[in-house]
Amino acid sequence: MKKILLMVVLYSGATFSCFSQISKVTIQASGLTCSMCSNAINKSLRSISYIDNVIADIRTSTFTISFKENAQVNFDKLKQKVEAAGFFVADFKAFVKFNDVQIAKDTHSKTQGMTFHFLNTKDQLLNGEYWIKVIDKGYVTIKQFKKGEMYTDMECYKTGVAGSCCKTYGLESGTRIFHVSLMPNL
Amino acid sequence: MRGLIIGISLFISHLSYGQELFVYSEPASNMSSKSIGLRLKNESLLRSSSNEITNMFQPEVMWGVNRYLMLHADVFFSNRSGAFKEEGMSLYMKYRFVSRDDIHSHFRMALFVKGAINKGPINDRAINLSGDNSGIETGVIATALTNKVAFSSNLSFLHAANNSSGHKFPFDDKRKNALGGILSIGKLMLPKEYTNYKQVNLNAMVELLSQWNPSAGETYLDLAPSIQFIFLSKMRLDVGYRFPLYDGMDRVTPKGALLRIEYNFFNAY
Repeated sequence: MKKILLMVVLYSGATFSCFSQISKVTIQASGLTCSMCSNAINKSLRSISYIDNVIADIRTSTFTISFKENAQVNFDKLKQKVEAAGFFVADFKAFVKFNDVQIAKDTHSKTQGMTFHFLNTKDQLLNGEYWIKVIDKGYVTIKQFKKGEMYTDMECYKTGVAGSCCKTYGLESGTRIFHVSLMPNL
Repeated sequence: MRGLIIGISLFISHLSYGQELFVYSEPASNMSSKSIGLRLKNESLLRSSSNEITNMFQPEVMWGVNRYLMLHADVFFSNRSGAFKEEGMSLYMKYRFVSRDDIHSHFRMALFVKGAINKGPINDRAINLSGDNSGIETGVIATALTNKVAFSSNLSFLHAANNSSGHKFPFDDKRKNALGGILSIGKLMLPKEYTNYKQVNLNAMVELLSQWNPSAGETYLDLAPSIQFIFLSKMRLDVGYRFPLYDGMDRVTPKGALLRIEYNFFNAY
């Protein structure tokens, strides 16, 4: 009960006191064969209107994406663009600005328009810009996704959307939840 | 021991990616969704009886419909009857149904179907839907990629029909069906390390092309080495040469050189 209360407090606090801004995303794609394939992903990503620039490291298949000011970044859209080029996302990190957001292990935090479920992360107050790694299905390799199951029992990890496990947080069923872990500063 | 492991890890991490953009066959992968590719191909084939050269010219359009499906359409022109004239066309559809991707490797499988119409005369007992026969072909492609090297196999069933303009299939009906098989290996030779999209890529490839007609008990096996240049990560130049290792079908034009240019428009619409 105490834990549930803590979650509600954390979630409410996160909802009303924070905002986030995403300035950068890095995506590592898997299954590439050549620079032409890398270019296909590059061009596919650049078709998103709010992307400012894409810097591609062909050797590691990594794309560093910056966004136009006040862009509402849609992680799923970025992932779809990699898949549209015929490949998959193997690693997805975002540089997100948090203002006084209290997070706790295996709990949800809502920022402007996005809900994050922090896994394998120490309880702490986030203030500033942090790298987060998305570990949802399709954002990491299948092996890594299975590994993530050890950090939560909640069903939303498998589906990527709010289910009965998320009612405590006042999330409507079907709300998109990004399961993430906090990265050490890169 | 630790040094050895670190050394191997560094070596693996410095390998570039392999190549599967084969010259004489299609890989299981598709082109990017919403992309259009244009190709111009010319094959100069040596007529074994007279040592004359016949040219087969094929403009081709490719369309990445979505990440699973791509389409090709091409038109055949040939000067085998004198002046260059249009002799037919084909449509090709490929559906990728297996993708096991990892950072430095992948395994993919696809199904394909090809239909061709041709109004030229039929000279060969071998079925060729890229310029000689009207007919249909369907098959499965499996492609594996590991670092710089790609392997691919292509197994298909071919059925030849009568060509139009009164050019009927001139052989026994049992020769109308055949099985096709292709084994391809490709390796990225240059650049040693990628730094930008403007680097010229050089790929070397070797393909084994075969057809087997079980009813007639006939087969052929060709070897087709080729090299490929990729410019600006969107243009391709292919140069290949195909010749028989074994020709049990007594083909009229079994060997010849191939030249192809390709330009890709990514996110064309």
